[in-house]
Amino acid sequence: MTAIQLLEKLGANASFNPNHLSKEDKSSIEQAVSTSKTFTAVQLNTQPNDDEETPEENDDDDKESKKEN
Amino acid sequence: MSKIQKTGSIVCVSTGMTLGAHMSPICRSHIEQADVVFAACHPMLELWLKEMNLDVRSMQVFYAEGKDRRITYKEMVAAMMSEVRAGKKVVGAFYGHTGVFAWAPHKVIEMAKAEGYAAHMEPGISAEDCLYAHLGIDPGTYGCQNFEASQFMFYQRNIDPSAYLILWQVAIAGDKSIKRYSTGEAYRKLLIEILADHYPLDHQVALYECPTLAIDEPRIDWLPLSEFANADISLITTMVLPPSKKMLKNHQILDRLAELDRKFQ
Repeated sequence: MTAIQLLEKLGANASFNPNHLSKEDKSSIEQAVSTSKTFTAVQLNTQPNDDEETPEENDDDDKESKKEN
Repeated sequence: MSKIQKTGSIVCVSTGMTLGAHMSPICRSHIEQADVVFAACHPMLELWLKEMNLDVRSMQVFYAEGKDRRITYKEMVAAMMSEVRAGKKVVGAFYGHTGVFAWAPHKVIEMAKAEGYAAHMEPGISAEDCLYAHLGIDPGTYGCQNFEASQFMFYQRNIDPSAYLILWQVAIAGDKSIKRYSTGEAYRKLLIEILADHYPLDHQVALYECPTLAIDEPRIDWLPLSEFANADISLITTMVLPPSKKMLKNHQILDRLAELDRKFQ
């Protein structure tokens, strides 16, 4: 079983006890966790000013924004 | 409502907070059947999604240090819409509840519908749901108010200190640039100052973080409000303020209700 499959089972199966994991399984999970990339959790921000224009990265985005407005 | 006539589609699904534990069967089914899955979730959750679908694309690439996150969110929508317009069955998998504290899922559904594509959202277990379970609080007991911390600072909000107050994204409280990943002590002190109008400085508040993995415990740290300025917090930290005042009875309405009871009972 891969580390992710083990973690899925730990999350989904109430009788699957983490204390009963083998040394290899524990180490596989630890390795997966330690090599996982960084994560930005923020997906929403309040704009400080209602009338402030959303900044645009390029011309295409600018057109898209104008459409939205 | 626009008439659906195009082949592309988008479903925004919720992964829940904890790997393996929270995803609903319908969300999983959408992920398994999608042509392409765009993921906005913890890297471990992304790895889990990759076991369900061969084409999972992380949207973490759109974030960058010093970049306005409003651009990031627009790029997420553009990436998803590009595949919808190409006629594909697209899934946007967002952590927690896909429609809670997330701009892109609502926007992409709105845009897809406006262009005549099938689009909808599947709910899920949010950080707020987990918070109630882990902290053992019921929003129905005293009522509960939720605010994004920066919004709470930017605008004059009427808060009720006899109800729970939950402030989200406290690590970036007061960030007007929408570029920062942490604001810091001075900003938190200002937030404390605002809260001090309703809560004593020694009021016990909880800092909460929901675990991504079932082997981890939730973070629940109780501390006085005054110590929040120097607390160790991250982008996933939420502040919970229990009521500082008792609920006041509305005698006028109670009297009128008594009158109604006499009349109708």
